[in-house]
Amino acid sequence: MNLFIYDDYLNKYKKSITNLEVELHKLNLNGKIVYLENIKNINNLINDEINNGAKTIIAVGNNSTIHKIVNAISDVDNESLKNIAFGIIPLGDNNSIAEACGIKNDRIAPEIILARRIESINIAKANDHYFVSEAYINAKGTVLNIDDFSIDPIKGGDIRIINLLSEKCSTKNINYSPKDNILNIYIKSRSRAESFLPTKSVTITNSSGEKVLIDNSVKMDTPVTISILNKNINFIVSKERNF
Amino acid sequence: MFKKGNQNEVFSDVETIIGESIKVKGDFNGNGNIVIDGILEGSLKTKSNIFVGEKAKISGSLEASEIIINGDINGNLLVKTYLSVGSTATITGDIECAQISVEKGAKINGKIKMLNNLTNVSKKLETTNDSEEKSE
Repeated sequence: MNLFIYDDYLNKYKKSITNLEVELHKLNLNGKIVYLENIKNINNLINDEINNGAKTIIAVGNNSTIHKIVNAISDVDNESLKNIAFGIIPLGDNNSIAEACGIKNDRIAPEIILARRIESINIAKANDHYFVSEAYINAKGTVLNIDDFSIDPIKGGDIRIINLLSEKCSTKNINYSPKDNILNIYIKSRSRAESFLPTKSVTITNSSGEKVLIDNSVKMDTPVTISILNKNINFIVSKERNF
Repeated sequence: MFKKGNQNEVFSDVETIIGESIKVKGDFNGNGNIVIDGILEGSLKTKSNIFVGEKAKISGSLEASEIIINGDINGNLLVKTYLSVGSTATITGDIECAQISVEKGAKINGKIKMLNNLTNVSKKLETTNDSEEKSE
């Protein structure tokens, strides 16, 4: 059974939604539709629907929608998760996760869901939030602590802790994979000097009030401890994915 | 193996890059090749190779299979196979290695001990690693 979860902001995409639903019907991709605005507890919803036989959960929305649903799905036990596939139908802006999975727009998404090409992707955690793509923080005042050493970006810039790379990176010869149980710390200074370190876990502190942005959706105050989990979600992807 | 002086050519083999813009403090252990262009205050060990760029400043010891140095290091070096000291390098510390080459202009202040065969160096590296694992 398919479960389609529509985000709150989709009212302004009525035409796209109508076209999407026609296309889904043509492909016989039917299922239950729920609207996030009507849901008080998404975790309970996901658990109930899985217990009722949902095998494919489809987020209709953007990175923020995916983030909310991934946080609910990730609380499901690992054994049940193996039987669940997670699809994405991107609508509107802020869709880097869908793009990384090779789903460029809502028009091609139904065919991709129908083809059901599955990639099992690692899930990371930032304090009590799960996330799938990356955590970002401005380097100003930021220190990263890993095991017995610390990293101090002395010339400012941007810091990204990457699981699923959302776009092609300039250090393209370095492998980023959301399947290797490794997080990749990527630091680019204002002078464009690049640093790169693989890790399983890192704690971020900041003395300038900068916040950590995860999945380009949720801002968190530091300190934030980020780690890769022994937990995967089966994403439905296309051949055009980034990994 | 690193190609001397050309970081870009070895980029695809590199596990870790400590860029010009960052300072690393503490003890850093790796498995793959490591490029250092920034500041390192502490020890660094890897089973693979280390490339130290011209702008790098290191206060601490390095241990690796092969090391190429073009920057400043204030600490001891233990090199399993081959140490290359470039013309811009300044080393203040003792060196133990199996093979070495030193370019004109390089500065070395310390003792250099050549180990007769690779086995001796390998054993020394293994002993160091074992004692660390036990202490953990």
